[in-house]
Amino acid sequence: MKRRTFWSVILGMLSVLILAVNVSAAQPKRGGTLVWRVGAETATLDPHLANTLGSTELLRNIYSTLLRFDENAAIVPHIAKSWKVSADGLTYTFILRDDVYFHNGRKLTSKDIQYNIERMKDPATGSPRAASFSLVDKIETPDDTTVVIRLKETFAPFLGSFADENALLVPKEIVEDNSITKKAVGTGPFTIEKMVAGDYVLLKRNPRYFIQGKPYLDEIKLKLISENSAIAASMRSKTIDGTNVWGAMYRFFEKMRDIRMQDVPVYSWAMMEINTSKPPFDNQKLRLALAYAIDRQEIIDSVMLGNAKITAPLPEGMVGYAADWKSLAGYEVDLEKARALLKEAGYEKGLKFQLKTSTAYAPYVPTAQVIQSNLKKIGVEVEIVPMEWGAYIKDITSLDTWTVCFHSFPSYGADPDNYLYRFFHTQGPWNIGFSDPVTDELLDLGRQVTDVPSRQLVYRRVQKRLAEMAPVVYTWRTRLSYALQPYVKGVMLGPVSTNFDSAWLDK
Amino acid sequence: MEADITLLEHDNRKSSNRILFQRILRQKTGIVGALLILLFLSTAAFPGLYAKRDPLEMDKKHRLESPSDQFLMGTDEFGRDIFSRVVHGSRVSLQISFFTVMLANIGGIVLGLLGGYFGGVRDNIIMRFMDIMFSFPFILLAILIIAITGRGIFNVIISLAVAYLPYSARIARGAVIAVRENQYVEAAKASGASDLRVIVKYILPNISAPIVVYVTMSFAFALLAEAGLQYLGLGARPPTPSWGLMLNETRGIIEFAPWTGIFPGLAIALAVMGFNLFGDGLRDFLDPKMKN
Repeated sequence: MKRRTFWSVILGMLSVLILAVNVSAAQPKRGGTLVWRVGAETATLDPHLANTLGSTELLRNIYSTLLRFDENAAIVPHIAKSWKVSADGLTYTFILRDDVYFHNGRKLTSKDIQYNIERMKDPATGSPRAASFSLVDKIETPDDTTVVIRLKETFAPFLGSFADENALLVPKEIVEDNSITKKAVGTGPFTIEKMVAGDYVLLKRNPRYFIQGKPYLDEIKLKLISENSAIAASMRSKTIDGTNVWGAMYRFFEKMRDIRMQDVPVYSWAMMEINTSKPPFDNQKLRLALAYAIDRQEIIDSVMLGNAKITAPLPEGMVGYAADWKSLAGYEVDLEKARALLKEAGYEKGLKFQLKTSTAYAPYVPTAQVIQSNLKKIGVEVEIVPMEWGAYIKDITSLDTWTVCFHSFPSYGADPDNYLYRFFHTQGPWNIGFSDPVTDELLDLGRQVTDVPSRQLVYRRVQKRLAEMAPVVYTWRTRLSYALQPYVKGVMLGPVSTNFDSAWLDK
Repeated sequence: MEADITLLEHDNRKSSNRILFQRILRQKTGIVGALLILLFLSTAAFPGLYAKRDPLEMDKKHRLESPSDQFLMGTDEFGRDIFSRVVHGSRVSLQISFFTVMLANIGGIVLGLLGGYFGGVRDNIIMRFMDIMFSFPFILLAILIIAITGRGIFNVIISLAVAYLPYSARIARGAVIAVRENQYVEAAKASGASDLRVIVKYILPNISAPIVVYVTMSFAFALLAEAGLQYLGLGARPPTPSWGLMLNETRGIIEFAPWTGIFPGLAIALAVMGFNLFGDGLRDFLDPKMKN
């Protein structure tokens, strides 16, 4: 008996050993520096004010969110390990992890969640995420790991607001001593080690990250490269380990070997915005005339070399996606109709306006050129004003300094509300001067109803209304992939966010 | 120069013409340069004669086509004819360089003449100011001025002219100082000629040889600088065809559509070479030491 036990123990040990060897082949390796390509620098270090892709790409590594989106844009636990929504949809209870520390050593508690919601909600902060939390009525913190939030009315996108990769949690103390604009103190997997303007940002592993054993990487270098051919060359020479690939860039990656390409669903898009608050574009017919004259397919074929799709406001896969976008007003080129509308609007002799755009991203100015050439056909003269990114953002922030502008947007989470309310509701934080009672009502309704079929219906109607009112002209939604060196493993690539805490290098 | 003129006056008219003609023919590189300049001047003046297509027209059916008999230099990603854009682009480039050179040299020569002729405090003030401008790299000074005035063709001309001014002022001043002490200048002064008369009648004609050569050479310089500013996106707004801007626009596609970059680049190179060769030829021609 004894002997048998002895042998079984030996056997057991052996099998564990074999198992361990097996596992280690797939097990992530610690260490190394991942060099990731970014297209723009951060505009601010305060995540609550961040609204550009460049800021998000940096700050999501340093700060964390209460919840997270996974590869399929589903909401998963992060700092909150679980949550509960009451039957009436008005009370949200979050149970937090007990082991989350800020980079300055202080433990994160439910009070921090309360503080962050209040800060984002406060109009004085000026956060672009204020609208997501404006319906919050009361926040209670019965203990250090429990947060109870009561809403004034039901708000369907509310849970997603906590996974919004810009709803990052900041410690109160760095806001109070005003150092939030100079340093980043979060709870995320990395800390900022060095920032070299115009070149790179070096991130260092946070050893006290709350997910055990992660991150695997020692460092991440976010390298700034914006030129397509330079990106391709860096990928070929392996000086960068990963980058996103979109639009005309595909041409460079088609023939590249030893590079792993992974397509992801795309929520980002580009549109031409029209300032509807001032003449001449307070005229709906004039705006619709532009929409009918712009040849989206031509833009896609020449600027994106075919690697994009014509888009309605909501992306494929999201509640309310309009698969029949062709039936929406102004989506198919109709020069006759455009001319007729122009005449009705009182501009049959033509019109001239300035189209502002930025030189920061490669497809913007070329897209503007196609729009210019399209509109020339109906006698509308466009003067393209290419601007440096900072100056451009400054100009389009105030309704007094732009008439028409063109740029693209990143993804804003998985809820349709995030893609419409902010631009088209009269109360929207990024309202483009557009105020329409019908749209307002529909958007409010979309926030209140929670069942999918009703929301589907509401958002289809919003899109139809928007197409008729034409405050913007949706142009393209690019195909998006990530190109990775073969040794890069574990990067979470999703339509909403990209996370590096499980990333590792197999070399 | 002085000797040159007297010599020509002594010869009889017919043979002097023949000698002049032979001397011109001897400057082979100068002639090549002159022909290149003539070519670009004519494309700038009459682009329609060379290129039948509209340089702005986007042709959906012919995107990124390589050079063929239909599109001599191929098409860009919008389906625009590159040949016609290069031809029309010569107008913008030559216009900008012409006005830049004129403004810079007129300003520079006047300042150089005043400084060189009067000397003393006035010379010091002018030339120290020029030294300050010299301390900035040429292209950076031009970019600085554009940053203040904003982009546009007119602003490119102004910025390049201002940035170039000290160079021509220094050349002019040097030439003036070299002839200022000559006896004929003193004689003119002694006979009671006003300063203006001395400058215009006696100094200017005698410094014209180096200045003419210098002006020609500065065309090449201005062309290159203009293309540089356009490339940086500081000059003409798209879709205006301009060589530098075309090079800028080709950055994203040059790897698989090289013709979009080669031809505008070639145009810049040829035009710059034209002015350089012509300038060289002119210098040799006007140099009395090279006469035989």
